[in-house]
Amino acid sequence: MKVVVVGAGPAGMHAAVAAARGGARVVLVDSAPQAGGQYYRRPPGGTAALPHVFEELRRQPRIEHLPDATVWAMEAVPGGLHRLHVQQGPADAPGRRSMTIEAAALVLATGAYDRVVPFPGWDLPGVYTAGAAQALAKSQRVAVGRRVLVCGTGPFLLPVARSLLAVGAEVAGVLEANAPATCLRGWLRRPAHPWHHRAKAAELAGYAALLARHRVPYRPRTAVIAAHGTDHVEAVTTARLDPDWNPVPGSERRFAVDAVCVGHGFTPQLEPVIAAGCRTRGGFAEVDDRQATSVPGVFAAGELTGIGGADLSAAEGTVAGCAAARHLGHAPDPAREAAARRRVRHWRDFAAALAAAHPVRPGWQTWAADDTLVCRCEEVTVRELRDAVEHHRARGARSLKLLCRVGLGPCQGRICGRNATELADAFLRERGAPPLLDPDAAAKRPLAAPVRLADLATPPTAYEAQEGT
Amino acid sequence: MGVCFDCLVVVNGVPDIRACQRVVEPGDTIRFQWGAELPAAQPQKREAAGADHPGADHPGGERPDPAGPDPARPEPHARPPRSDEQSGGSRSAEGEAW
Ligand SMILES: Cc1cc2nc3c(=O)[nH]c(=O)nc-3n(C[C@H](O)[C@H](O)[C@H](O)COP(=O)(O)OP(=O)(O)OC[C@H]3O[C@@H](n4cnc5c(N)ncnc54)[C@H](O)[C@@H]3O)c2cc1C
Repeated sequence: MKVVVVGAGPAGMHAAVAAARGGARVVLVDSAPQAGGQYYRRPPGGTAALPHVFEELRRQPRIEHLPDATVWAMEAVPGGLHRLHVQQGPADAPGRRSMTIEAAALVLATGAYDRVVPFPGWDLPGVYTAGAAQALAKSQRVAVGRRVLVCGTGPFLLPVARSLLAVGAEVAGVLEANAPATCLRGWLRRPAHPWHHRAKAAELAGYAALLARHRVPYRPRTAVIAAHGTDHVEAVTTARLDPDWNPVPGSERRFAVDAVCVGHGFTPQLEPVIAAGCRTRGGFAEVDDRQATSVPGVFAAGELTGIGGADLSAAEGTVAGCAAARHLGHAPDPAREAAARRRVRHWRDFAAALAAAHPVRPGWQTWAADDTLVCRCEEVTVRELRDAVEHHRARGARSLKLLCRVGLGPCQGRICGRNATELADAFLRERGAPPLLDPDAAAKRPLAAPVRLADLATPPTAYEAQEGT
Repeated sequence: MGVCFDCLVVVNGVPDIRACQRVVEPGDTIRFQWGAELPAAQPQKREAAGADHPGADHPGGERPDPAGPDPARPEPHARPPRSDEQSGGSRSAEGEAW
């Protein structure tokens, strides 16, 4: 009887440690070569100051950490167990170690990935997600360009600008699409918790000082609405936006840059949540105050349950780890658990404010031209998507896929799913038709990662058999 | 990162490797991948299966197998690997170490 934790970001690491402290045996499965997730990215073997949880993870004899191990499918088995199908070895290599792991309690903590809305030229080399630029800077010390523009919405753009400066890039500007009034309303909408506001205000002041020192302009209500170049980005067009993100006519300007970093928030990596049969709400895993999902024995923590940063993820992880241990009959420290739950409540307010302050507004749909790709894998343009709705009468995400192939490529709609759904809904609205029948269909992916056919044909070994447990 | 599959490269003759996820090893042979490709050299223990594959040596510019399971659409400039790009095939059994 053991707890299996999927994902070793802030949420998964804290879940593993909390469950092990509570007395449970833990297997921590993570697709990255080293623990830390998106937040604690560092050069291989990096010695940057890491928090205590890393030390505990290493020391705790009840935790086995499987790095380079990807959960590609999950199924329920009799007895209330969950069977995970895992491949371990270098990313995407054939012939990796193939195994199944059975979990009596499961903590899902697979995090989130960047969202980017399409605009003409967004598929040119040199256009990066903000997260990718951040990851390359933090873990490889690579700057994605010499002269870089950072744009999108949300406070995440600021650490990205800082990382770019740290690896020697010139940051031509940070463009926040939302209006200051939108952001203020969002941040003030909730009763202020002086505790995290103080911490976050100090962080913000730090960024402001840094941008000023490097003479990096910060422009609210502005966006990159097109990127230009033949083989690579050479320039971009920016525009002032109204509160709905419609470009203000005549406000367009052209800038020469060799890279653009774009971030319009994050999308949770929901595959294991959906595979386990857990209910979702508003595109996130639905959890109670113990991080329990709708399926007994399955807990979710971190950005799967809402976007609120590393502190919220870590606190949720601790709560989930305690709950998973208790599910197996152990008795974790109630004081520690109560403290973590208080932190979760505080940071959830922060997360709600964040979502209200930095919405993605529908005006982005006017940036895309008829021939702008919505689905990059299958090369489906805005025009083809519109045709599927207007001429072929697609009324659901499934029929949309079959009619124009949107979301059917290797990324399985991770990049285009939400954008295609919102565009199709807009086309339907124009025709007075109801929105798509099955908007969540885009997130349903039975396989969480591609598997080579030869590897499918190779019978896996049971982890339990190898471990002799 | 790791979700868009736009950065697929061919590593030691094996296609469909996400460049953003794979850690480089000394001696790796890496090249761009143009659309859908079949493995140039199979990992050792699957050599036989690879030779049997109907598309294993498809002519240049042609779709390896239009009804095949690979959802990626081959680009018009898809081409078979040159022989010099197949060097390093002996290393492609890297998965065996695990
Ligand atoms: C590219 C990127 C960069 C970011 N950089 C920063 C930053 O610098 N600063 C900041 O404040 N916030 C950053 N964020 C936001 C960040 O996601 C959160 O602050 C925090 O890391 C969330 O913690 P988490 O534990 O929920 O998820 P994550 O940290 O995302 O951890 C999830 C882990 O699950 C693993 N995983 C996912 N799917 C599977 C699977 N199927 N099988 C096995 N393992 C799996 C992943 O490899 C990862 O290690 C970034 C986000 C992204 C997408």
